[in-house]
Amino acid sequence: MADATSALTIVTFPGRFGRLDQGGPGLILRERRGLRLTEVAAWDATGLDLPGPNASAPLGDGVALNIGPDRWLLVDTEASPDNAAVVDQSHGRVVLRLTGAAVREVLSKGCPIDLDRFAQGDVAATRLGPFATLLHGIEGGVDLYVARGYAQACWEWLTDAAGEYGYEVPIP
Amino acid sequence: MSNRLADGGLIDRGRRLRFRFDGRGYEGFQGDTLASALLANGARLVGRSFKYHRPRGVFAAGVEEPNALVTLLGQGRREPNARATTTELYDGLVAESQNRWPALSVDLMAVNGLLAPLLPAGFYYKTLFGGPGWRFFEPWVRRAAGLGKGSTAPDLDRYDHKYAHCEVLVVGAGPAGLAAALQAADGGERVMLVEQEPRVGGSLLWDRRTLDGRDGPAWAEAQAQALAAMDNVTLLRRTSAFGYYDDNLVALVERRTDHLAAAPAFTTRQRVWWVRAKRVVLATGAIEQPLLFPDNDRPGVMLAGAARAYLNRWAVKLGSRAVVYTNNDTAYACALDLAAAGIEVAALVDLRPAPDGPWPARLAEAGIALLAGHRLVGCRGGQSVHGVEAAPVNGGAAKPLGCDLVAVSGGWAPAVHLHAQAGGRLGYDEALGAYRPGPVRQAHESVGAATGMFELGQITGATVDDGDASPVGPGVEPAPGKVFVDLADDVTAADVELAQREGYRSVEHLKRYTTLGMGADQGKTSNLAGQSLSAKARAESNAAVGYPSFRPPYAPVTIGALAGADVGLRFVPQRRTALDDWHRRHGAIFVDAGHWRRPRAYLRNGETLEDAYVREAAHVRQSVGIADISTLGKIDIQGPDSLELLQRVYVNDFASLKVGRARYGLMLREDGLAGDDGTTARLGEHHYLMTTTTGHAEHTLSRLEYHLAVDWPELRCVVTSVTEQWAAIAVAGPSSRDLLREVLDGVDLDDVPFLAVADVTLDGVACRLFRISYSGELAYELHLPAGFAEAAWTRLLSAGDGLGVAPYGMEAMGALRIEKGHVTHAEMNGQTGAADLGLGRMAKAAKPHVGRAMSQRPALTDAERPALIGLVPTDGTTDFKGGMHLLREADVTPAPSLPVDSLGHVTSWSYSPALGMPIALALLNGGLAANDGATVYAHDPMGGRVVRARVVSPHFYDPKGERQRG
Repeated sequence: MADATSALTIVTFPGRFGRLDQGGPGLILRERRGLRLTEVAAWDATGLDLPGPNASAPLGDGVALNIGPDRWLLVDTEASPDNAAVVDQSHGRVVLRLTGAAVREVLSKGCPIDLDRFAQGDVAATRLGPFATLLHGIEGGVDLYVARGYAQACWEWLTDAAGEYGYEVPIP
Repeated sequence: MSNRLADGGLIDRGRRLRFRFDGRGYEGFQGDTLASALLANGARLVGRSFKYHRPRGVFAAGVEEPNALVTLLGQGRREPNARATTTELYDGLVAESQNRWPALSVDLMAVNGLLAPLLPAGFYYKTLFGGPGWRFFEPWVRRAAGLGKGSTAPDLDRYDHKYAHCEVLVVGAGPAGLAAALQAADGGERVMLVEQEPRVGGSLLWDRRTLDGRDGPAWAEAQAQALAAMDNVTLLRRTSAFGYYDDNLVALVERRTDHLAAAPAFTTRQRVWWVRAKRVVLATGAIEQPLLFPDNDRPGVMLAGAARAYLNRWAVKLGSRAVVYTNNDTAYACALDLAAAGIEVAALVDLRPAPDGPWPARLAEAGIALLAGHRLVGCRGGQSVHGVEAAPVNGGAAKPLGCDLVAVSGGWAPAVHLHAQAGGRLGYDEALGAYRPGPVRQAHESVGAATGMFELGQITGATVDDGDASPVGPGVEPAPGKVFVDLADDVTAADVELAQREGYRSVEHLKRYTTLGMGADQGKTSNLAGQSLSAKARAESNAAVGYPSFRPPYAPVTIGALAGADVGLRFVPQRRTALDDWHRRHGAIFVDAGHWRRPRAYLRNGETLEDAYVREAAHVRQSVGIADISTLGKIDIQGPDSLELLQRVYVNDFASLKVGRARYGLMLREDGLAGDDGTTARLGEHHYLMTTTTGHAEHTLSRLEYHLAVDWPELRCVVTSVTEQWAAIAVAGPSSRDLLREVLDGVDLDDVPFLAVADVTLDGVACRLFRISYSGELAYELHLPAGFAEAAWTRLLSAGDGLGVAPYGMEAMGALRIEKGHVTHAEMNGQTGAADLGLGRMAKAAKPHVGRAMSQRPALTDAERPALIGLVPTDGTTDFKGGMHLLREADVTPAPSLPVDSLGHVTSWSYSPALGMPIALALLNGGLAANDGATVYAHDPMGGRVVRARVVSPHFYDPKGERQRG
């Protein structure tokens, strides 16, 4: 079969939108497609050196995010933990990459955590407006994970919130 | 602008702004409020009072204003009850007055004033309640008493919310707030300073002080500039802190565009900030309190501080001859400012018999008469004040004083509202006649005038002039007459005394009985005076009387701002399946299922909903249909104790379930009633996939997580939601196997019996195939990674072209399941147990499980309980309606006469294509065992319909289940 269909097909159009007369766009927003996402949930010691609460760590070619007690999300990497379920979530989550000067301004419209203190490598299972999201601090921005079913609504939420700072959707 | 002083004021005389009030055009300057601009135009009458429709004028200069409430129009809006005193003027502003008919100057409703003796506190309660009274009088009362009219049109404005965190939040950018913010910011911590006004400075904007050799406004602006230059400081103007909640969470509302004639694009009108602060500094200042005297509500009577603000900040010549009435030193500066502005001051009337300190001498220097030891005993006028009468406090002849302005000061009360909202205690200061902040419960402190401390040099650390004045003064016994305590609600001194006489002693009762402090201003200039009167009537101290709870909001907040951006389509987030866009493009009408939206039916040319679902359901029975069932909850369960978990939560046994097979399971709640159902498949030795109903997916997952985390942490088992990972397509109908044979690889479908599971591939994509039937036909569920759902769906449709495959929606699915007598949450409604739903046999397994003990309560095993039955109309054609009550023949003959005992109710109904008639599922006392074949009458009391129906088995179609096993 051909490539998987994006959950954002009908809302992502490349271009610059919103208010652009203030030095913007303040937000660069794009979907990270084709990531391999694996949820690891352990009932006992995994035998692996996985990151602790609210943290991430490189693992193999990818990265492991701690997303809850004894629970991790592996991004573009694989592992064989002991005493754990390994569940494919590649289609279950949509990953958005947010960069630009206004990332915090946009996220703070719906995310109650202290984003000033949210650093590169940090992980937070939090909410953005009505959406349960996972934030991962990256260089110059944030990767945002949201359940596929909410992805379109979340995209629309973000672009609405970003309007006053201007935003750009790059050509994939 | 006839009443504008020739110079002075913090207004930009280069920018003239046009505005309209009650249809008449006026001009003001940039920097004006609506109130200052109206006063500058000599428009003194701005509103009618709440109850008696008495003429009212501007009383204050800020958020505490009780009188000057207007409706703002224009730009597609209609905002009632806006305070003219805080409404910044912009070019093109349109406003109208409220609570008058037909016009502000000729208000026929003012007849209420003549009826005033008949309209005391509690009048409506006493006179109109009980019997038909209130119903008859309510429309009249509502029309006569009230505020502005809201709009029923959609709000064209947009709002949003923002979260912020800081180490120090300073509320109020007056002298104390500026000083506190600068001090905190020097340490490098994150500081937020919020100011409700467009300018910083607070009292410095009008009280003509000098600090470090600069005039007050310039000094304040310099401090603000210094703060704005620091990276760690956020300064928000036009932003009010309106709520102080637990864990130092403070809510602010920022008015972003209200002051602009045209708002910039992509900018919300107002923003609510939720600020989590380590420490909060309340520099909220103080609010001037009035002195009470008869007819003290006439236009032209205003607070002395407000008079100074209109003079000094807005350069308004408030009148030609003034009387200043005070019990403290602060109003002396008002008299001096009035005189300096060329307004004759007839006298300064001071309650105190021998005021001392420097102020009386300054008054004498300016040639202003001082009437010490006097009080006002009368106030003449109509739509404007004409004069007052002053008499010695100890008794004696009243002396008339002609004037068109009365400036009043009863001292200054610290604005302790946020302190009290935060849980801080208050202490009554007899000298100040007001409450001061006491011990705190959260991390906040009050500074400056908010603590009752008014020494500017001490507050700011700056070198200041000698303009400090003490607000301390005695209380006053108002002379007899129509003495208004609460201007906003037309509460008089007599009302307060009446409440006391009638036993409403508690301050909370006083408030509710008289409506004291219940107006839009929340009693900012009336609560203290009302409480003092109550204390006198009770012969107790003010401290003993106490104060009612301080609650958010400090000042009114637009509902739109509280709602924020989550309105319209964003009110509830839309959750879409991977096939959502296909459904949309192919004529689906949608139905909400929680956050999900699901296709209800696919309408073809000219079809009604019923046409479409009957066609779709019949099609499934005849050939093959496909349905998007991706919304089913899917929970992956793994670990050595997975089976043990299932055994504990399901009523039926799963120990005998082999790898590669699936089983229907029922869960009970802890109270023994049915909780949720679904099939669970065993994918591996210690690996299961549980499915749940769409509506209970999250609830069931969190229940399992709770059991594992709290009740049974010893179980080595984990649960993971895979609802979003897997799309699911039901393939149902006699030709379903033929259709799947066309598209699936890796499986011989003849080797997949009923309730088996198989790993298959579709065009190279690994899928899971479950042979499960909800429709009662030969049927499968195909689970596949969501990103491939649309490709698989279209592949099924094209491969099945020769088989006549068609999609079907929720309505058809409902019809098919009702024909089969399958229950859903319409039946599993939180009041039914397993046996009531015809699932009693499943609960026979001799194993413990959640809800087992409670399910064996006598009440749940009573044979008379309502239980599931089927209904068909005896005429074979009349349809049912959900929620219809089932009644006996005697109760509907000749017509239903309510109330009657209901025997049960219809839970689900549909037209059955298979039976060719309407059918229904219902819960009926005694169930099928006691009623099989009986006749009952289904009654819809709202619609007035009665359907004669026969009780039948709920399994209308293929009761032995031969088709699904075929």
